Amino acid sequence: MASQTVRGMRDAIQLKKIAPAALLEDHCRRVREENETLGTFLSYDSPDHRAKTGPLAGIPFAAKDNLVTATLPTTCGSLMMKDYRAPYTATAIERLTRAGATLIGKTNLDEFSMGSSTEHSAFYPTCNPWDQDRVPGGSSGGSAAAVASGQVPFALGSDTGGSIRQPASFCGVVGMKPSYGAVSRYGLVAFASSMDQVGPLVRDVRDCALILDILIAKDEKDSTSVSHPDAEGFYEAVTQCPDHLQGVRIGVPDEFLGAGVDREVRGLVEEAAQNFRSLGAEVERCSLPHTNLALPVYYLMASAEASSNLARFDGIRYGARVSGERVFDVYQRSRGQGFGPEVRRRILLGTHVLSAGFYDAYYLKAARVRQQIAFELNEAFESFDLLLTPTTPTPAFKRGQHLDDPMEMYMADVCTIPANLAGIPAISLPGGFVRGLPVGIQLMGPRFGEIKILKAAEVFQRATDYHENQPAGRREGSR
Amino acid sequence: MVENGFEIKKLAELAYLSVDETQMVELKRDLKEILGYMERLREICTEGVTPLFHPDPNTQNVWREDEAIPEDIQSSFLEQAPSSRGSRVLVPRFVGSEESNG
Repeated sequence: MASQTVRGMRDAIQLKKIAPAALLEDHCRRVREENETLGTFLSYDSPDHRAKTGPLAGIPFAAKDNLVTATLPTTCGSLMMKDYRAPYTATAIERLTRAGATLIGKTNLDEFSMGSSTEHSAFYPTCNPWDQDRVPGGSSGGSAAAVASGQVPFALGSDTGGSIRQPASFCGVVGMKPSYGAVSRYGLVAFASSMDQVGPLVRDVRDCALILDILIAKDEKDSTSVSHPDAEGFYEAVTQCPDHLQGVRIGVPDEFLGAGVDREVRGLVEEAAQNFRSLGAEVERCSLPHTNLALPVYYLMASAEASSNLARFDGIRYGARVSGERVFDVYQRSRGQGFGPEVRRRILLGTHVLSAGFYDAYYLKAARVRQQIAFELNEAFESFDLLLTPTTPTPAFKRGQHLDDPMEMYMADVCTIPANLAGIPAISLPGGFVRGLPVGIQLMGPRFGEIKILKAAEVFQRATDYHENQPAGRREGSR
Repeated sequence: MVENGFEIKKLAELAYLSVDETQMVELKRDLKEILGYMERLREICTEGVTPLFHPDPNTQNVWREDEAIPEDIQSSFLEQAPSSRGSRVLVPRFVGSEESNG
């Protein structure tokens, strides 16, 4: 296990137990060999073997294919962008590369990040490494499955309504959505700009902190990016925190454990609450009634933002073009054929809720309820340091199970959406197993409360070994 | 509302999306279900609540002077255009076409 973490690999390189070139070659080979079965990557390359310097020197990683790269294609999982090559690279990837890490491939996703199973990729679905008949979650399903299967020690994802945390839960890895604005969105293909956030998928909390030290920084190329008060201090805070959680107050909101949450998942959250209690934290039930409305608020607002953001894909300057006599025929045909069913659905929903006569009743109403949800969450953090919930109401579901019913699919994000609406940080970490499948627990914290979250998660991982389990057939270190 | 095909057709026009008859039927069914679920928002009183469009209401536009950077990126942009000639992106005729908008 240790040798599969970023830290384990970094130490092995420093102690000259493995040459960086051999480490890269091993991971690239694994990607080549396993991609046909798992469908985790949409593109990969033989990376450049030149010696790297920096805190992540020699460490391979993957990035979700909605982060643009000048070196590899960026498809967003869409036929619209099938052959697209960006002229520049996303800031998040640039920062990791400058720290010495090597991008070895781009991972599969639901088209334009719209989905919770990676089945809405226009190219092929990704399998869950724990059970190949099941989905890895989504939309960052390729990144989560690539980390879970040991193809890479860490990967980048993006999270608009749970797209990092939900697949992290389904694949038994750690995934974190930082505070809105903490990580640059420059080069992230926009879905819902007021909620999108880039973050890491990793094997454990320490690696999460290590990667956040590199990722979190204000970027002049993203006007919504902010200076985080704890920038570059995450790893140190996590490694130096004591083994107990005395003085930490954790709230467990009833609304996240209600109907629709699998009984055994609820049991795992209660077990985690007990664990936190025995580690010294004060854990209490609480109520956040407005969060019950997070799902309708999210789908109205995110679809509205998406319908506007995706207007740029018109077949003129880049992307797929289907010819037509008039320019409007080109727009309609290129978009009609370039976008898949879920993207079409959301564009139309967004167009509808923004149109005259419906704007007030849907979009504006949703924005007001969003305020109430954000207020309620922020108020909760006056009584609690953290909130503990399930990440997902169920473990990974079967492939095809929710494909014909969009509302059922949307329910997979019911626990993760509130954090995006309020812009607060949240992590999913392995919390145990239900019917042999990993399930995550979620910790939410106040805005810029990443260190509070990471410390509690770290102390939990020191006391448990759920994160050390791996899918069958995966062994420690290289094969 | 969107109960009839005409409205879906209208929405598709507004969104510049070509949608065939089969897709139209499916979209009508899906949107009806999704919007039905959204109706629960009406149950809650939001009188006097300021809408929240962005999680960081303090975000301000960032201004700086325009600055020329010597970087040859024209060709990399043009390479991505589905159709181009010389230093221009080629588009179908739209001036003088029958309709002035979609």
